[in-house]
Amino acid sequence: MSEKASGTEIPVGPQHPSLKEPANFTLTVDGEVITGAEMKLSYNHRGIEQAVLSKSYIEAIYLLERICGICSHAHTSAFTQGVEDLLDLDVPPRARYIRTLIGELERIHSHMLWLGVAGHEIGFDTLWQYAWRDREIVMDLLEEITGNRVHYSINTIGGVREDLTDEQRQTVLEGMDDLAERIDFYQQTVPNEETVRMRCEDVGVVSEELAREYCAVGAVGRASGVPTDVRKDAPYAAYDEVDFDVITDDRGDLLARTVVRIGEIAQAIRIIRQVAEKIPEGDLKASAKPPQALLAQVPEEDAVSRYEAPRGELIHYLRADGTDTPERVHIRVPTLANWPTVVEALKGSYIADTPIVVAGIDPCISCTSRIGVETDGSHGGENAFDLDELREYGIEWYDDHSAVERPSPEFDGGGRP
Amino acid sequence: MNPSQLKSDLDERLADVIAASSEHDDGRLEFVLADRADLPDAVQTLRANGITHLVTITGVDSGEEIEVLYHFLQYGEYDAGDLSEGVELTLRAIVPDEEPTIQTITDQIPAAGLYERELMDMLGVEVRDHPNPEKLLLPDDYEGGPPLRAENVEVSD
Repeated sequence: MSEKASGTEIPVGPQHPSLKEPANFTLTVDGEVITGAEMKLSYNHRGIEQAVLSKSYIEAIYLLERICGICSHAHTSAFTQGVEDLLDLDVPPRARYIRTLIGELERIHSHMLWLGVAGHEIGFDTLWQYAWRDREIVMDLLEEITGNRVHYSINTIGGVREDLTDEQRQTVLEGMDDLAERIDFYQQTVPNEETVRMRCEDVGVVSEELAREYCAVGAVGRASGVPTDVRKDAPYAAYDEVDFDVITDDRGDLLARTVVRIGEIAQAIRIIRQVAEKIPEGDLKASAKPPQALLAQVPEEDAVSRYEAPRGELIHYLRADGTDTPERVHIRVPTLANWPTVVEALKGSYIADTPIVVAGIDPCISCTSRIGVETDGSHGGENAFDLDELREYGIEWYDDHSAVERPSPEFDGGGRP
Repeated sequence: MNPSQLKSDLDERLADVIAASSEHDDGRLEFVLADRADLPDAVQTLRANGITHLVTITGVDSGEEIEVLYHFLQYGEYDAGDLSEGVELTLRAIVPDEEPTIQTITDQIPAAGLYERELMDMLGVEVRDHPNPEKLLLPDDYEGGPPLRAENVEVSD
């Protein structure tokens, strides 16, 4: 037991079924209220930053794409933009528009996935099924354009590998019409739906001050009133040629994060429509040279490449030593930047809020379907329950406590033996 | 303030602690610390000038010394949809191989806590006075040197 907090400690994790990397939270609780939380991440180090050092810049694209199955385009874009910066390559406009198109389709895919997961975590499976059904619209478009639903592999150094045909452009616009209708529906219903309000309003609050202090990024920061967005900060691809708004909210709770993400889907549709309508004709690559010839010209330099991934600001730092393999690649994914806000948001929440608060930043954790919540300190004993059970517990607990007040912010769990 | 203005402003304010500064083509500013002991002071100066967002901390082992890069961002402001660009800024500290230590900045920027733990794991740079110097990315029972130290990186070209 840690010295600073009194009360019972509950280890949650390291396995969490809705997420892609194992993480462990040690919750200190007083009754139903969480008074302290600590986090542990060291379960699944894949050593990609080491592995990439033995790959050429071309091979590295496909390795780095596999960091994440959801925002794969974010990683290849950040990386290729960094390499293009090193090589002083000007990516042709058509390629920049295609990158923007895929990036925004990916953002919709990621946010719709999250909306479904959030619905599931609060026991609102209708929302989950609706959101994932509608998400298929963008998955089909991604497959049609790139050939793949997940790892699109469309980026290469200096441009893109696939063109967008006029027919595909038309299909994209039609798909956006269908999706826009659905998003209107979500924008009107979700924030007003009783289940969503009960489980999300005033839950997991991150104040603007806290978000700035912890340098939160993406929708988490924006839902706490911090208007950060790399697409505006340092416009890449075609973002300085399209109109869109940065959606913010000042409430900082889970409802705000939900509203912001749905709003961002609406903005993504707006961007995609502009891209599909005004994509210029032209080349797909900056240089007709074969990749090996380009790589022979990599200078000894470094580059910082930032990208607004669906989960927030992503950064790739590249150090080149003049060979065709990088000397150092450092990647900071948005989830790492947002973890500390989860720890803070858990404090003062009910145990029953844990699944949705953890899911609230849209973390990238492992899909392995076990989370151990141990009530007696032993590992996997009879008193351990997995996240499915914790989710059930949360749903039932709120069924019994439908009018429960939020724990007061002044609540401190100290003082009890 | 555009990157060039910000650079000349900070050149003046950081004059006592930096050895060099530069502006990259893409507008990124870089300041190299003369002595890594001045890191906390330099960070304090940046924060006092509105550069509060720490993006991440990168460690690079060149073989003879370890560079620790603190990537900062001055937020862009968006009013009524106007495009206003942020400024990227890198603070570079040089850590000698024979004494790989650096002072923490977590007391000033809580967000640095995780990045400093990553630095300790991957580069073996000891971050002094870190509030929670536990392993972050590597397993608790990991044995072997820091994976990104030059002597531990196997590269087969």
